Amino acid sequence: MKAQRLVLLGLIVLAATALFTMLVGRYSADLSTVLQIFKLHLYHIAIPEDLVSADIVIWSVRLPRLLMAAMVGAALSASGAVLQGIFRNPLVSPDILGVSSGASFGAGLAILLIGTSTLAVSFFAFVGGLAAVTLAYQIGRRGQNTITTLVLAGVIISALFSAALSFLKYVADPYEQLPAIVFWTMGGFNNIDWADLGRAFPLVAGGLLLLYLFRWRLNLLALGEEEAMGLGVNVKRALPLFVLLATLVVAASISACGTIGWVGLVVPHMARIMIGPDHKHMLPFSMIVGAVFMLLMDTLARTITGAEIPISIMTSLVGAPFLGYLLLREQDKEWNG
Amino acid sequence: MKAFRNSVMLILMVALLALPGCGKPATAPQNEGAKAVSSIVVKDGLNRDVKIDGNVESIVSSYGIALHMVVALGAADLIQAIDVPSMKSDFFKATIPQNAQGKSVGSPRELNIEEVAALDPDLVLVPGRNQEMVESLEKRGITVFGVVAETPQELNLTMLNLGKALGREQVAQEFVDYYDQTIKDVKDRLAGLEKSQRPRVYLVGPMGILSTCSSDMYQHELIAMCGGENVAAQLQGKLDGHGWLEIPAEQLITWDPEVILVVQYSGAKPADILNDSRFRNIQAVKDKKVYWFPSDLNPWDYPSPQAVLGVKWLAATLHPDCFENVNMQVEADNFFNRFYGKSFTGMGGKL
Repeated sequence: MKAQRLVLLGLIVLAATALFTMLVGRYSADLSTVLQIFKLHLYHIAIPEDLVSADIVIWSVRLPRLLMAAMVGAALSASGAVLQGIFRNPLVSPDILGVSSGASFGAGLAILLIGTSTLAVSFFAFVGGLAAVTLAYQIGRRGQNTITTLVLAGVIISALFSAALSFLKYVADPYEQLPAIVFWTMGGFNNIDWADLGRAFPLVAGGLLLLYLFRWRLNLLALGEEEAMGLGVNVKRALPLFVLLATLVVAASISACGTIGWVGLVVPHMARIMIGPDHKHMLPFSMIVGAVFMLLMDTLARTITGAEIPISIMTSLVGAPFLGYLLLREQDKEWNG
Repeated sequence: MKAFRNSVMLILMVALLALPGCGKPATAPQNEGAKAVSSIVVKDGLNRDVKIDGNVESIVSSYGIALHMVVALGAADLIQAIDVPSMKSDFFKATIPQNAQGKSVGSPRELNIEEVAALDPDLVLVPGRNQEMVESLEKRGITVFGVVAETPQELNLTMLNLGKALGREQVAQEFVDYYDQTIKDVKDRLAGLEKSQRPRVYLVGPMGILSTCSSDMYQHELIAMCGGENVAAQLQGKLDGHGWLEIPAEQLITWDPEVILVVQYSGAKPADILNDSRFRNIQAVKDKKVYWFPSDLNPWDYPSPQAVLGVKWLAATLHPDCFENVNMQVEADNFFNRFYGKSFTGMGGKL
């Protein structure tokens, strides 16, 4: 009961955060302007001349950007929660099977071979991310202790793709291609428009929905393979399904906005500390916390200075101390409580 | 048995480590007696003393800007090997000897020291900002010249010193005179420009429409020199060493620049900006004043010997009424003929 109320509260906080982030930015627009623009779009009324700039900023720049930030925050966090569950390891992040390094390599390859067009780069990144995880999975599942060998295979594949990316950087043109690769790997939501959102949405939202529907099986998988099998879960089928979905949502997210560190590792812990380890509530709550966290970090990234601060700096700078604080508080409770 | 094998391995490894580095041993040139008369000392871009014994007859460069300088000084024949990124340049394909084009010694960041030692050039040119590279070459007794050209002043000074090192003082002086004269001409034509006559300029950097130059970069000075005002003037710093910053899309809309320049090496093209509905209400887009910064052969927006053409082009683009009888294609042809012996148009150059 308490958990359900927390999830509801989370949704309210998410809505409030979304509204707040709509109102702040380098272009100042007040609540009434924002509401008016929403109304004009709702009723398909032509935008009056004096509102054109405000409309572009609110409707074409800020709205797709914050929707994407919320969605990617939810996807990274859900993926982190799922993988921490099935690997039964709190240090696991979505990168564990090499999705980030695979995607970065794919993006780098596209920049070198085709150019910096968004479409090519995000397609290559998506394929690269999936390819890396498929390779890691193919190598890792052959071992006797699947979980351990999977982790090891992930390390191997990550190292391989990172090295390949370093090689691409080495041969890249230092004026055009190298900055583009570096910038892409830093990630961010600055250039997101409706088309980007439209491409990523079906994959990410679909993947998240399936994860949500299958979440109860996670509790069983998290008990360990043998116990899960004893309880009637077909591990051979459930494990690849979760790995696939967790990879899909992250690869689709990364392909739209580059790699964003730390969120997928830290948010599941925040959620677990706040709501408990039961995946039935913890998974949706992770998505909500992830969305709120990413919205706030992205807003900081685009408003603190006139320049755009790389979002990974914000997520690490704020996320790490916050997790530390939660851990300290939790220990106090356990020991004194 | 196993322990024995391990210790043998260990001994072998230690022995391998103790061997001197492969390649040419690092000894200082021993031929001073013969050429002592013609030995000279020049300052490089880092203000180091570089001692040159005799005539420089072979050059290795790991830096595109340095290559440009050598070519402008008429010493392209001496080049033995170049950096990987420069191998792709059409300009260098047209100006540098065939056999040097295919030989690389690494990149501006990483240099293959063994390769350099094997080539045994009289002079190695590296970017001055790569202090580590300069020091490690110097330690091995290789004559190294750090090239620094972040501002027009540094460019001129380095040209003069490099000219001296290569025994081409006269060309270097001619080049510097041409440079100073052109900049003086631009300044004279734009003298008395009022603040309201300076258009707000936004310069698109290499990482897409939203990357731009902060006030710490040469491009910022360039815009000011050419009678414009950089909308990103309040921004400072160089992100991640490459010098470009990213700005939020709504910041660009808020700045509302009157002119947008797209650097030649940007992933974005002027058409991308003109067709992006997010930027349709920006003054420069409405007036179709979105320009590609020439040229197709070499970018003219950053400090290199051809930057002087960029100065004149930008000034004439921002203030066409002050440059009524200036034809940039002709100007570029004159410059190319004078310093490269071939015309800009003849090399396939386009504005």
